[in-house]
Amino acid sequence: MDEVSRLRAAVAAAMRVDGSPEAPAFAVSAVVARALPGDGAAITLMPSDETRETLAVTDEVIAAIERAQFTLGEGPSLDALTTGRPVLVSDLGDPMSRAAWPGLTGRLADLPVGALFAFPMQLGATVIGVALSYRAVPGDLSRDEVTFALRAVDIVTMALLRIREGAATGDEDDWLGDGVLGARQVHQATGMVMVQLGGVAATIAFARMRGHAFVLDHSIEEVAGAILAHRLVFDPDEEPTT
Amino acid sequence: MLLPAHDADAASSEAGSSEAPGPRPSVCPVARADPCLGTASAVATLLGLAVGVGERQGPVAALTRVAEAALSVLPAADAASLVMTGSGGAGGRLLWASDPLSHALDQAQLAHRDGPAWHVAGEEAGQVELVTDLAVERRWPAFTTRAVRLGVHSVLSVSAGVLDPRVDATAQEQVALNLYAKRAGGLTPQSAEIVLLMLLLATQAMRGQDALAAAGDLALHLRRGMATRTTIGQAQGVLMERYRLTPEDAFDRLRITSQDLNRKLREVAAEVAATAVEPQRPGRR
Repeated sequence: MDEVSRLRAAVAAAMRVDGSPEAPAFAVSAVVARALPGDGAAITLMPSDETRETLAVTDEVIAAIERAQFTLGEGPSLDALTTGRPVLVSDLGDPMSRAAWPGLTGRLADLPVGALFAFPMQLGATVIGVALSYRAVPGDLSRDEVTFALRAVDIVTMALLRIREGAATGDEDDWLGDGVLGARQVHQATGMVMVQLGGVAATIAFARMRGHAFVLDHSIEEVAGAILAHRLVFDPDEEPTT
Repeated sequence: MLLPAHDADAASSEAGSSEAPGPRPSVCPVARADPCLGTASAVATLLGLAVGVGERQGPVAALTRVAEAALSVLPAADAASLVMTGSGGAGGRLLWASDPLSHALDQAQLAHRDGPAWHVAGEEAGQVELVTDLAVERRWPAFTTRAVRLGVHSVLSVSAGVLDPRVDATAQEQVALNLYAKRAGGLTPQSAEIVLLMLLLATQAMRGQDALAAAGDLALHLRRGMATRTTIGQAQGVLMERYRLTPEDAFDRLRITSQDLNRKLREVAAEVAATAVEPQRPGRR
């Protein structure tokens, strides 16, 4: 069996896992994340910059990379989403990368990340998320690795669509159950900040949260947690009070 | 589309054998002035057909592309048309004609509800009626007289069923694709094979597009679903902050509002997330 057939078989098995409603989605994502080339990878559902749910990570480094991308609102994943094309960054430290993503490259400077490879999960023009892998050492993916990654990303995309199609999703679209830890909290915190700022649009509230996270070198999830715990309150006059 | 499991290879060798290969060239006789098929342009036409059919404009549009492709690939064919022959011999209408000639010929068939198209109509898809010389054809006298008077001597009608795999074809009307040639013998069994092959190709292309489109719909639904999850979370947050509620109580409040107003929960959530306030309750001022 070749690599791709093995992956298909593993994904098919993962689609049949039992347990919580979100178990199959998390399982297939984990299988594909482990198979992607590189030192580690993540599978993230991402219809927009502000809505991201990471279904699988293979290590803490990629988890930190995803948190940083989400918090800062920049990076190869967002570019892959908006262009519908893979974004292959062979050297995160080079001047072009630093110019493209100044916040992200700064935040990742202390992590063992040399290269980042983002692949949009898409069907035609519709992107549902981004698969991201990293390498500690800068360098390109080989042609075979890119080819395999593209196939693997197609496989996980179709698998997730089929899982969602087969799930009895109600009015609340709960095929992911309670969802990824932290994702719903970010949205709830956004709603709270909307009111705290006097009834502003969600996108403005979210931008303020991001700004706060950036200044404090926190993640957006941490800021959301503080807001939900009432440890952090926003005010229409610039500085949030803690 | 209802095509019989059509083995194009077997059928074309059959067609070849009816023209007795060997000393006489069978498929594309070199002796003739016109080659019946220029291979490269035929391949290009078939590819264009697959792509064109894939543009999802519906079964009749797909069949029109097949008819146009057949016209371009078969030099002896002078005109083409599509007719819907109606179920059980009643009804019928002209769907498309490449020019006034085929339109007039179809009118002739329709007027008498008789002719090669009507002959293949009641049959399952993929049935062929080929007349190489209308001058000696005894069936359908009204039609053949008119055709010969218009200068047409050869006709090929193929029943195409309904080119839509999702539709129950047994309940559907039949569509016939017609090709007309001025030259007797201009349309041959091999012409028929080519048209059937094109219909098969078009069916596969439509099936593929249907599958792709269905998957594309799933992708859009997934995106919309995630947007729903986002707005529900944001709506919860708005209520949590306004009324000092826990997330669970905020969700319950959304659900109660949705029931009271008889609106979907995701719509209520979307409104709360957009306005940062609860929707007005009826009777409240």
